[in-house]
Amino acid sequence: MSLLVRKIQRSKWGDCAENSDVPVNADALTNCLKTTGDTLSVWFAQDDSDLDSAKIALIGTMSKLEKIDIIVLDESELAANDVVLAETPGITLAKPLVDRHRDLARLSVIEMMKVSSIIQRKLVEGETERIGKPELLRLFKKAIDNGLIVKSELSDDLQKALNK
Amino acid sequence: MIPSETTSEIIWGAPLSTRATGHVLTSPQISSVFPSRSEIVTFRASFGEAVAQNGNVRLRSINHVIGNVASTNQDIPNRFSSSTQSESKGSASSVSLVPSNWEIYERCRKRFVQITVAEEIEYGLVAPSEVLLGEYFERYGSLIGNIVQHIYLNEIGNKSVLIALLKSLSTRAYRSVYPYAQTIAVAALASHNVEVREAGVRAFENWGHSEGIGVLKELIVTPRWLDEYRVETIEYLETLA
Repeated sequence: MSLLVRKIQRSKWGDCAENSDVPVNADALTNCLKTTGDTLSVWFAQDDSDLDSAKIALIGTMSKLEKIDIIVLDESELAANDVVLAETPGITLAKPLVDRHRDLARLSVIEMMKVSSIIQRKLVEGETERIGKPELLRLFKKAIDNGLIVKSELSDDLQKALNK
Repeated sequence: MIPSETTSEIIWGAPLSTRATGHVLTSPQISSVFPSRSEIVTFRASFGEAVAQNGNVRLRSINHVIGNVASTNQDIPNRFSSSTQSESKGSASSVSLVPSNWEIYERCRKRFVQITVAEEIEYGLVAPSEVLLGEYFERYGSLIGNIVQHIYLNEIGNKSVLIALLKSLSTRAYRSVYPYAQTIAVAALASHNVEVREAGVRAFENWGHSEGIGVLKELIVTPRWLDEYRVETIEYLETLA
């Protein structure tokens, strides 16, 4: 089962992340799920065993070592909800993983409601993952060791953190 | 144009008086009042209400101002030069005042707020407000603690500012922002807003200092996911200790 990884801002979801009867709040839609060109950016993984690659592609966009929260979406569930997936090159320092990028494309308010409902359900069910500093360091080290990221291309902050 | 903050020369052409103290201060008296800053006279007065009378500069209200008395050809804000020229009756001196600390605090606060309104904080990326706070650190040195606290106290209800402030402060070395930043982070943990509370936990995680363990252990935060993050942060800090 193909998976799609997206960074979320957990705290933007407020009470609706605790109770699925609470409507999704506007901040979650307009901040956490902010679209560009009617698209939402996600990173592709073949399956659970491939998730680290998608996470590495995602953290390759970061310039600081700060905790992030991610959500893992099922591609088939999105397709069942008429959400179109488009392969577009991603911007990440993990260059071999650039083609892992996908866009949830041609999103209208209807698809956005569906996507937000799926994410809300996962939040309520606790299906989110917190990637704190230790895990970020592990992923960056793995990416460097496997030649996915060139250490010298990382921000000074990240290089300093990795050198500690 | 406001003169620079570091005025190096004082030419005393007239004694100063302040209503606040009731004293007429001449140069030697000023020196004795401010022995450590003899080259810059520090008034507790607002130069917005400064007037000159018979060659004396009268400072009417309490506020914090750094100023000097310099030659009449100095670059002087219009609001003062008009006052001194019309009332000094040909005095050889005039007043040149640099921004007060209060004005610096306010200027910094307003700019910081402007930036945070326009930016969207995304964790893992450097925010424009972080860059701005970095500029404040370089430019204002020892004033930075007061500037940060001024922003915090005046924007305590502004979620975006608090989050930006905590994110910015948490990128600085723990001791370099001690204790004001930690105080703000502790206060954030008690905020009614979950984003602000999260920013408080994040700050202690980012500082990576063992003192954060004791602080985080004293609290329980809601909702559950945030409290789990707090516990994880404690465990992380314990590995560093």
